[in-house]
Amino acid sequence: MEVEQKQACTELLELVIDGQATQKQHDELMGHLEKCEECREEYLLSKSIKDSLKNHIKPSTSPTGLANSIQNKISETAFLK
Amino acid sequence: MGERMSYESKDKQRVFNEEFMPHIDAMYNFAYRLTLDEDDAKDLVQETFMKAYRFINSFETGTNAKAWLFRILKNSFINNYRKKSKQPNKVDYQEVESFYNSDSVNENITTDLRVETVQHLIGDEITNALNSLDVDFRTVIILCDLEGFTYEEMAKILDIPIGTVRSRLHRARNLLKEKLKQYASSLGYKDKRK
Repeated sequence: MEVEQKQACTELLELVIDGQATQKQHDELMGHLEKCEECREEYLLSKSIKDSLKNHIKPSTSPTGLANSIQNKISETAFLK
Repeated sequence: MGERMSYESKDKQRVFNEEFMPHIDAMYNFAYRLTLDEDDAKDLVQETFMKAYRFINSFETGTNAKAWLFRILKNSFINNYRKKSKQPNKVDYQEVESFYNSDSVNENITTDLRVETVQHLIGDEITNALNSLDVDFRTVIILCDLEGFTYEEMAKILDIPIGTVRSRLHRARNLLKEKLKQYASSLGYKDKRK
């Protein structure tokens, strides 16, 4: 594949994976993926890495007491003014 | 937009509690992923909220509080930790900027990492691969893939143009793929196509 075309595909692919493509861009990529195995594989791999990040790196809750300690400091600041 | 009114003291507390505090968990997660240390993360979150309160008049009610807070946190992190760190900043921005325009975009580093392999990796391996990236690259992946910010929001949080957000993200993802590939091969996953 031509470097220029490959670059355009990669940019489009990232837009779609990141949920920031327009419907037109989305359809354009899907049409291309049907014909191009190289891009299809790249799409599936990139998508699986993004999904893995989201599934494996779960957000934790902030440590106990942190919210209270912040609110106490804010109250002190507000009171001093 | 007209002039922004400064908040009355009781409004300040209300805005703070209603718009800022709900993001404390996301802030803590971001701080932890940046500092990789629980105590540093707590300090960073605390400092961020104090700054947010102090500069509350520059926050417009109803706008994106989360992005606004993330921006403060990121700036505090740079001021506190990067200066202290003995490690030089490893990101070569020139390289990042020119990435899309170089031939290296055509290097297909992805061909020897397979979807099945990625799916077999466990949480620790994914986490370690992410944490091993230089902080600038780690940050864009956290903001985009874990927090779901748009490129536009990321540009505001990081104070860089959208084009730079996208090229840095692209580079970060390629580096992450490389790391995952290393993990996979060190763990003995075989590439069936070889």
